[in-house]
Amino acid sequence: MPFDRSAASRRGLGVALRLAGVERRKSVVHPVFVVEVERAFELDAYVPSLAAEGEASLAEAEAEAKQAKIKCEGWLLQARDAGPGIVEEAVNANVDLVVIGVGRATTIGDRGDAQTAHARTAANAVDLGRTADYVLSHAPCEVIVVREAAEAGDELHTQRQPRRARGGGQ
Amino acid sequence: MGCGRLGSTIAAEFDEEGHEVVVIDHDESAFNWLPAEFGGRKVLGAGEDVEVQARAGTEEADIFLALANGDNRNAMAAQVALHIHRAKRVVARIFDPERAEIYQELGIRVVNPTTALESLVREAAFEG
Repeated sequence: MPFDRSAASRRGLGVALRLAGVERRKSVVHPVFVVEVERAFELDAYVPSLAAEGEASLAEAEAEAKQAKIKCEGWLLQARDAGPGIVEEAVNANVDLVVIGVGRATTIGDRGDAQTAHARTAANAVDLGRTADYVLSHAPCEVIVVREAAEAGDELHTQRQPRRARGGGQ
Repeated sequence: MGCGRLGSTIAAEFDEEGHEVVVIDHDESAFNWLPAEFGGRKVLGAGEDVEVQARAGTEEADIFLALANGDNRNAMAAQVALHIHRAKRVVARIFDPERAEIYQELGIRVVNPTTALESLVREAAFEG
């Protein structure tokens, strides 16, 4: 599950841990911090501040999981876009379920932009956000979206700068 | 979504009552559960898939029922129907009581067979 210490991802983590608790012995939760690397830089470019941000995020998630007595292993990824990075890792690790926290979704029709997400057929279709939208359409497994009301200042902590981490989707 | 024993029975009954019914299943042989006189539409594909649901006309549906066998699959299909296609009413069958509680908190209307059956057994055992 993507985790970046935003309120949305914290809520997603809560649900992921509870779902993992249903089959505690078999379950492992993988919080994922994705650094989106701009194309101007090498995919494996390294920026210490972002590595620290990722590590801090994963440490928080792992501490939360430990408290809930759920096995947990964080993944730090670098990818051009978070969505393909998450999906590629889900494929590689053969995960059973992706849980993704999102802020309050917008209605595509309301934004006057009918081409950014799937489900374009519905005039009142909802855009869950670029990453959740991609994961929903491309993940090899079930995806549970945890939505919340948007809050002021609820931004992703990820900065768009190069850094080094384990590989991810391009 | 889900044309097994339960899904096909409900689809057939709703069809007989005059409702416009669309059944989704990823396994074509599952449609054999439906009676020969079933007049609804059959859509082959994964019911949790956004495009498959679009093909089935979920955005115009009054009711979307997720009745496949997997809890997470039903929950995902219900979420797609609810949040992406905005079906007016969405119900998912969730077998595990703990998962049922979690998914209910996420806004999905859940039917949990274990709990429902427990009530019926209790009623049969103690009442009348």
